Amino acid sequence: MNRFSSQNLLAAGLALAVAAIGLYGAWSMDLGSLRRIGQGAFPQAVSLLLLLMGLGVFALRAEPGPDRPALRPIVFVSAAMIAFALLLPLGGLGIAVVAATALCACASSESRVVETFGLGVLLAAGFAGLFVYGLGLNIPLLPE
Amino acid sequence: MDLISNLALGFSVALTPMALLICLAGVTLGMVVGVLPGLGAITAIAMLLPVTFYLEPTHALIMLSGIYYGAAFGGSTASILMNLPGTPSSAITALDGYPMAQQGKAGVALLVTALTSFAGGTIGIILLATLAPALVSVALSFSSAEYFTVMLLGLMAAVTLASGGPLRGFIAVAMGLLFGLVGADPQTGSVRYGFGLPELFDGLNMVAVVMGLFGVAEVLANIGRDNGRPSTNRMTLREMMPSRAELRQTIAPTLRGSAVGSIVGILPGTGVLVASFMAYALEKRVARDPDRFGKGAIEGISAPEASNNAATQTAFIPTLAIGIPGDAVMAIMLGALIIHGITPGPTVISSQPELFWGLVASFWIGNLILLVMNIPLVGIWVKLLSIPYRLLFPSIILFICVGVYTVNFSTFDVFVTLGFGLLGLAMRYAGLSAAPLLLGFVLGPMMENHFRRALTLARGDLMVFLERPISAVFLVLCLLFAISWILTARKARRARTA
Repeated sequence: MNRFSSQNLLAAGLALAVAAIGLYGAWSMDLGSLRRIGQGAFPQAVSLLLLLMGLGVFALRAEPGPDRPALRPIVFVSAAMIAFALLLPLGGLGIAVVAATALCACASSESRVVETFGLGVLLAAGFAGLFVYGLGLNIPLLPE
Repeated sequence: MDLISNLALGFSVALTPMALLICLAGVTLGMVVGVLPGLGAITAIAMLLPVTFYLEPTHALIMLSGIYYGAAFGGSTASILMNLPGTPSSAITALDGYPMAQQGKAGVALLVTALTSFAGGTIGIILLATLAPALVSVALSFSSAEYFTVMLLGLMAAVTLASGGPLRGFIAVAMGLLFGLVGADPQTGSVRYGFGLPELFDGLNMVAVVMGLFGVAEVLANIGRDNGRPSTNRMTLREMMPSRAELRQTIAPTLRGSAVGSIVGILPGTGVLVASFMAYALEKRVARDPDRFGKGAIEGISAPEASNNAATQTAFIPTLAIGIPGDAVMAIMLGALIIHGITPGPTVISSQPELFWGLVASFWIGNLILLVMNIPLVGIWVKLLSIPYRLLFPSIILFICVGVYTVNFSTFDVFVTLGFGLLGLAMRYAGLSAAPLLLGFVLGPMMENHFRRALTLARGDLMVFLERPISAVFLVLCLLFAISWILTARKARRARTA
């Protein structure tokens, strides 16, 4: 019986990581008393519970999990979102959307160049129509 | 008498041209997103949430709930025609709906779905209109102690019902609670978990968290998976008419399903998924010939569809009457209310009658729109399903980016969305579900606040949670949930050793 399946390891790892950050961040907070509970009591209690639960995962039986996620979508979708966030203040909505669409499309091997470019332009026009002209939001459309 | 005048007020709000238009837009958008593969009701609401911020509160809620039940309905359409359920809850519809479609009875299945959904929804709405105001008088006597224990009960229920067992559910909830604490502490004003980033001082943006966990993670998990091609055959109205025998077969399951769904919907921490699942299980148990299930039994679609639509409506009872969301979708609705400056709680119905009753009336109108739209527009939904995923997923990601950005005009939120998208993907592969996390995220700050206030009022006496009768009842129910974990674990262990 293999207790340390990758699924359980990942679950425990996530729980322990969040618990560690929780404890680290709440370390210096005031616990207070029962009459006047401080800001640190709840975070510390929840972090400790999460820590115990994370350790408890090791007592679970290993079950076959889903297949491992492919790396390519993760890399390109992340790149697309980062590019969008960085390009928007610099290049405006148009450039940010077209560039992010192109990067995003790289995540799938089925994407085609011309089609993707067309989609990017279409999306940029759609967003401009909906958010800028339709809802009247103040988003830069083009580089200043 | 009161009910009738209230409903009249509701319909006067919901029947204004603007409200009707918004209801129609919400239902249509919801159906479009729900039909698309891999996109469920939560994703649909999360994607369109930023758009609704620019409407007035009543209209925003009408639109959001339209999106919600529209998406649930669209998901059923996709499951029946293509065996491509967008959400786990419509996966149950696929069990018998898809075999019916293969037998050439897709049209019948779709119309029965529409009819039973409408029936279930109507029953849920009647309960909402009668029970919610009654519950308010109970909720008005709630002090912080009761608020804390009822939220605890909701979280316990969510933990118990989480897929993968209570321990995994607990981890997800606890993670959500911690993420919810980020930002300024409402009692002392000092910032917690700010890590020196001024963007975190107001807490994590709920829209970014939701879009990451449900939208981005969903897309990341779906890219590269072949979605198959549908056969786009046309359907005529004549083909859609169920025979008289089939209609008679659906009446009892519809009523049973609505009853199950209504009860499940009211309980905190349970969701639409549990409602359809329980209704399906019940039908299978009472059926004279359970072997037909899974092979195209009409009861197998009518009961869960009635159930999930009834639950969809009754889930609004605790959300609107007490201000406590029962599941992830209601958590988003509550968040939308708060963003519009309405403090959810028992006073909402009396202080904003046009909001509550307008919403109730619009639910019914929305359900009617769904019923009417479904019949002539099936062809369009089928066409939508043939959009290749390579065009769909960049559009979804970009829509999420722009939508998140417009909430606060903050590119930082786009990074938060990406972070939660990656977390959501990791959680998926760790067998942790995202819905309990979101519930913890929304309930966490409220629970802490009520816990601290209750103890301050009771001068530090922990017995306050047991001395108040309603609070004690909630705690006993929590204890029952905990006992159920131990019993289930023991049963599983015995089954393994035997």
